[in-house]
Amino acid sequence: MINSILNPEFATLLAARTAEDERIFFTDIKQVSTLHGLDIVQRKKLFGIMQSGQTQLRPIFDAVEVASAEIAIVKLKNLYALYSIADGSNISDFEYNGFEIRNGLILLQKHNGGCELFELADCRYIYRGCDFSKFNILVASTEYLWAGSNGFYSFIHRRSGQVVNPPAVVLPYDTTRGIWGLNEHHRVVAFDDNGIESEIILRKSVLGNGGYLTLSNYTERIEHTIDIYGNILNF
Amino acid sequence: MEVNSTALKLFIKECCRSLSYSDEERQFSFSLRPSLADVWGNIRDRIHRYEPDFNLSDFNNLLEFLENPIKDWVSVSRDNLNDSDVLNGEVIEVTADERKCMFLRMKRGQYIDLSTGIGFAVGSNFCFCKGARITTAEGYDYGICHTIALRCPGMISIAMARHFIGRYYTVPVADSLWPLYNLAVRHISLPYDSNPADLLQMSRRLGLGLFPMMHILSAACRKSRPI
Repeated sequence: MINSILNPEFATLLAARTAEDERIFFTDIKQVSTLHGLDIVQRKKLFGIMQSGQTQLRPIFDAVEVASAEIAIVKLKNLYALYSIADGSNISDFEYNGFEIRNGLILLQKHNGGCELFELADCRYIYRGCDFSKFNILVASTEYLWAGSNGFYSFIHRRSGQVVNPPAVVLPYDTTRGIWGLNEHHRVVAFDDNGIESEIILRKSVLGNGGYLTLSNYTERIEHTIDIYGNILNF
Repeated sequence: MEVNSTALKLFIKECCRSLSYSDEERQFSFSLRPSLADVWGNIRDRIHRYEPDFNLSDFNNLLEFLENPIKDWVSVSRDNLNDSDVLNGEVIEVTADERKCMFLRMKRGQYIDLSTGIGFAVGSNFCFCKGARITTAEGYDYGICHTIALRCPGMISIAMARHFIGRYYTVPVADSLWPLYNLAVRHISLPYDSNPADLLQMSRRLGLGLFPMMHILSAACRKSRPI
């Protein structure tokens, strides 16, 4: 279970706790909660996971959260890590200050203010790094996830993880397909997959919708209706 | 002209009257209220909350656009433009045989020449192309097209549309804008038996903003001018 991903300090602590857990194996273990068919259990003050009476994760952590049937979030000394229940090993080190699970994604916050994104369905990171401090995880059906930093936004393709950096987007929109944003001249723009402004995409989309298009940002609770030139009409 | 949107809405509310028709001048307009100097005095402090540097000279400039909102536009050049890629109500500016022409799309393959107020057809497969001839189904030849551009409405006509027409953008733009043109022609022929508010209501039903509406009304006026 303990692998080379871990900082030696944490690896040593977990080894010690594992040894202690083996020593006190006869102590009562109680079920705290159940989620995704997994039981979070507690022995003394530490937590682990059992499934159908079998130990999946020894109760050696300060806290455990089950994110899916395959992934848990474990806590040690006020830091969180991702753990693969299927593989029986850590996916990450204990490096996160906090997390949020929403719409099949885990948003993981680092101490430097950056955020990383992990997708539960495919058990993979969509984004690792510290360029962005906020992501859109409120809507599950968008082709791109927008990610923000210092008032400007990039877009991450949900499937491929490719990061697209269209110029000067001050407000991104949540759209089922494509990349749409409000630029610093207060005009709505559509971008192609390379982040280049595309008047053709804008025109086709608006024409196909009868001459007007309504775009939303659910995080900021903003809804804009635009004309075929990207002018906002409902201001 | 760039003005803070909240300030602009306040200007429109305080300075503009609704759509009216002048039989003498044979034109539709949103005339300005009287005693505008008093209006400026009354709203100046409120305006400065949003536009601290806005002065009397800016106010006078703005009034010109409020009186004639279709003066506020931006040009977007194109190399070519298929009829199927144009929305009803869009204004296309072309230079053909050194003459500047403006056409407004009324329906698939049908346009109004805004300088004459006369409609013409080019067919739904038509493409405005640089270097290609513009010939109408009626047999009129505009000549070889040299430049093509779209006239995009500015913020002023958008704000005025919101105020006077309402939420026209909640319905799709209609398949034909001829009903508005015909209503305008009827209004011009019977100005004392008609209410210009009907034109605003029809624009709303057709999903039409103020910029195309005013162009259509101007075209109807031109068509109706005595020879």
